[in-house]
Amino acid sequence: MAENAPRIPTPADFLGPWKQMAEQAEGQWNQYFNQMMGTEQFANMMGKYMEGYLAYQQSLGGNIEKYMQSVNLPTRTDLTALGERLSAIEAQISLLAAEQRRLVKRLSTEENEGSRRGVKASRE
Amino acid sequence: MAENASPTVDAPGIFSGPGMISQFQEEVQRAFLQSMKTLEVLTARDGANVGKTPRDVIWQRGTAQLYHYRATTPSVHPVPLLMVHSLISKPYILDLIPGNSFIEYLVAQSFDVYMIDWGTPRPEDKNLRLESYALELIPDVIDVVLETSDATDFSLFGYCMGGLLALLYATTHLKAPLRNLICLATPVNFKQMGLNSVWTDQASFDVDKLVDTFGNVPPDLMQQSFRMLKPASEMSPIRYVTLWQNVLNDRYVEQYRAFDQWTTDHIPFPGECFRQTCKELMWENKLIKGDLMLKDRQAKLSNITCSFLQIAAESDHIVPLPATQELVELVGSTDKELVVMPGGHVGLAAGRKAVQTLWPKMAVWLGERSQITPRGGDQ
Repeated sequence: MAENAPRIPTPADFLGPWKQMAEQAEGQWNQYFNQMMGTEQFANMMGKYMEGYLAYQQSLGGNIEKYMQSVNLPTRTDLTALGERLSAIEAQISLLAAEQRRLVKRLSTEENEGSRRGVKASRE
Repeated sequence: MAENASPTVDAPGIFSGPGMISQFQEEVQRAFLQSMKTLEVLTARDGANVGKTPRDVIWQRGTAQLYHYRATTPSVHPVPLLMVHSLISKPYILDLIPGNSFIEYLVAQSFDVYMIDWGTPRPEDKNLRLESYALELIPDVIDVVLETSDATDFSLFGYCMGGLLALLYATTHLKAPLRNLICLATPVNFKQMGLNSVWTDQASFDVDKLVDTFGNVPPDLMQQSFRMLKPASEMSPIRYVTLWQNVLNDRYVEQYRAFDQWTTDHIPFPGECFRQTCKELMWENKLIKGDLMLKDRQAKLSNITCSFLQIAAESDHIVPLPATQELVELVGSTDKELVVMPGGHVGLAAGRKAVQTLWPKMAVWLGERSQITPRGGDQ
């Protein structure tokens, strides 16, 4: 019978049980880390780290901004401001396009109603 | 394999005989091939084949786009379905790969499907707030949907934070012709967001400094915070071993690549919206209390009266069950239902169980509430 035939062990023979064990261990480690990271102390530590990181980012951003100004090139702030203006123009165009669509639809409805009224009147 | 078993070997499991040698050679060759292919998959530079359901872009504003998916059935439900995606990730999780795409499935089930893709926010989008989405962009998109479908009412579907945006729209537009609302893994009780609630606590988290420094919250930061929710899983070799085992199955590889790409494909979170979410929702939990104001409109969940379906995942580590399950009790609808599925956050959108049970369940629920009428050949 096939199931009694001799065969060499395949990777699946080892990996199946190993994966079961590893998944169990992974779940336990996740639980452990979650308990550790779910404390006020950890949140404070993360807050402090973030504070330091943001201070560094702010100082880096400020220095780059100054450098760009000194070499007479647009800064990130300038480009963002330009982007904001373009977005505002885009939004206005979208509104106009929507309004135009509405008007066209209303006109065509009115035209249809007008022609229907005309047909009705011609039959009366 | 049985056909390779040597007749000269009389005890199973003994390493001898010519059959054994050829088996061993086969196994070694296979293992080598699997290793090479795994390496190839892990180092592949080209993107996965995602978001391929045929569609047209019918509206655009800033980075946001509205997709209309092309019908594949002779008739469609007369009530169009608008899908609203989250602000944190890309929407192709709902249209993952051909054969495993929620949108493709809905289109095949005769739904007239639209989806808002918020795109990748640019630095100038830092001023977008919850109001910008719920009171401006979504209503404009709905006008376009109703106009395009020539429909009088519509259904809304939201996944994760997209569900929150859909809820905010529904609570602030009492006269909207909203017939059905489906919320998938949508947070409402922000004090129950697990580790995220702890990490963004007012005492330790300076959201103002974060938003003032970056404008939009960088995607890496969002991604790291999600990864930290399951740190051992991030370091675990299990998924690579599973890939190695299944790497010769093209279908498995395609799905693995699509999921893997999506989980690392986060987008910047609009700064003001993040500040507002953090202060008004995470800190003050205003939505569940009914105190959230969007401009002059009160976002009270009891304002929702349309047919309502809520789906949550039992083991969701991003939006834990306690953060979402109260929603069904808080909405004012009489026709409402909560479905709790086994599995996690992403599995709800494109997992095996979702494909087998959740999608058919949603299609039946929505189909019963979206009357079918034959349509002309313009689709």
